[in-house]
Amino acid sequence: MADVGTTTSIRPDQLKKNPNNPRRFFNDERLDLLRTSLQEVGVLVPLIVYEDPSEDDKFVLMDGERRWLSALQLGMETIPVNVIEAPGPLQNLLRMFNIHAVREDWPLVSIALSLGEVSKLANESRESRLAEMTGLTRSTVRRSKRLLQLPQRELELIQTEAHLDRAQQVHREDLYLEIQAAESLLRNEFPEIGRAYRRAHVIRQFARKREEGRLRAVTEFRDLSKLVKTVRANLVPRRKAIRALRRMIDDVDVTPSAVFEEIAAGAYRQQELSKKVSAITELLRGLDARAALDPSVKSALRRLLGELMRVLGVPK
Amino acid sequence: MTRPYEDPLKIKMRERCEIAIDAAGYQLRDVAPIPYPPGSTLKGSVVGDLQAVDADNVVHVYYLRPAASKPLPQWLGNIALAVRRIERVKMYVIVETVSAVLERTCRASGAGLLCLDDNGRFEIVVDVGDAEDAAVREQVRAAVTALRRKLEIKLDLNVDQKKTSFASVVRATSGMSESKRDGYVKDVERQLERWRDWGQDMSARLDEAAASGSMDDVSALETLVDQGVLSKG
Repeated sequence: MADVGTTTSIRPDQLKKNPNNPRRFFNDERLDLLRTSLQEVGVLVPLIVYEDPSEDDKFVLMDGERRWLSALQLGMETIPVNVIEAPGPLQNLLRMFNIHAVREDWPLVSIALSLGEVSKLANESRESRLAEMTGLTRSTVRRSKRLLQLPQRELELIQTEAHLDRAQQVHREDLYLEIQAAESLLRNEFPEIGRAYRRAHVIRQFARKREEGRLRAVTEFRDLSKLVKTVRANLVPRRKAIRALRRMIDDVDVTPSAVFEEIAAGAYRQQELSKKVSAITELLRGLDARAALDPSVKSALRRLLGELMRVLGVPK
Repeated sequence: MTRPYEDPLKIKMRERCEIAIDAAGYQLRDVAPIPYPPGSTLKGSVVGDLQAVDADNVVHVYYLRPAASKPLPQWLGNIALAVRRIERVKMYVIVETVSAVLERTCRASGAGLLCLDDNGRFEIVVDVGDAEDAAVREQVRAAVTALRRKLEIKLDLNVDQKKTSFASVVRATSGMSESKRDGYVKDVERQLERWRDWGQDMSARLDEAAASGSMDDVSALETLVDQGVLSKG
């Protein structure tokens, strides 16, 4: 039995994973520098552990999984550890967040899963409070919560690829954040779509577009928000939009950008133009007619005038 | 004992390797630590991901590398050099695709290199007997080891500094608006990430220099280690 607060040495096989540890995803290659260092100089910084209350002569890891993993691969007989008092589950999780002040090894999905536990154990769902407790930014808390709302199957797909470099990942966290935002927008804007399809089905169909290599970028789903704006402004008929969106959900080959280009791009650009013209008009109204204009502004305005006359068909 | 996390690619590779080792006529055995030879300063022992015994009772130790685009890391190079002084033990690295830099660095370190093909069989890319004379490389290897310590100290100091900055930025920005606070926090995280990536890159370059046997390569790297992360931050 080790005294709490002491530094001692134990065999790596006396250690157990922390049951409340967020699942960590190590890229094997990224441990090479640490392995070389440990092999040449040994483990100098003790791991933080506590005695396993359920099994004699065993310890639970609090901090140092990478060192533990490396020590096992390097065939080390013993490793130094600091033994601390066994924490409660919430304390345990919060301490993990605090130990890894910057969660360099934690992909968003790991943060999200841990945060879900914190939220449950502390009976706390407010973003601001969760951010304070864990040291995460509020935007990370928000993104984590959104990720947790994904169907279990999709969460598992993200987890299975979390150890890969970003370029190799198909089921990326940012893909799902985009998909979720798009799905939620369509469901709110078009209740007909919400009635016709289950949420999990829409998310799956959107993810398939990425799996089949149909998307140019994960941000392509933002075109749906532009499409919605044109429907709200009555520039595109609602029924036409719903028909196109249903086709997009049903057919994996039909992308958000293709739908946008097909039914809304022209109207959207005119809507944008109208907003920008209004802004320019306001700026021009604010100019003092007697004030001397900078030559570069004059030249830009002349070019604008020429274009306006061309578009409106006014003879020069 | 509960195993720590293992790369899923490695788990799949392990299953295929076990079949290939069996098909090659070797007897798989439980992984057992093999002590380094007397005089070695390395910590730990030779373990590997898999071990097998051949008909002559020679132990084959296999290290599985799912990613094979980089040079052989120095910790494996150190093991390969040490194993050459242990009788009746051979050390192999197993990959699924071979890169020129890995082949070159395995050859230089004395590590055998096997490629697991699509049919689940091994192709010998570098045999253990093909190794170049390691003795001539000892001087370079020692210089690389010294430089690696220097790299680690630099990395530790800078990473610690960024972690301290992180702790203080969280405190100092607690009253700010969300977007402003997140901006500061993310900036410190980005700076930290830059140092980590730099460390990984320099470590891979050191691995390559150790295998190249060229003192010029080591000197060039020393300049880069002294410079640290050049961009702002």
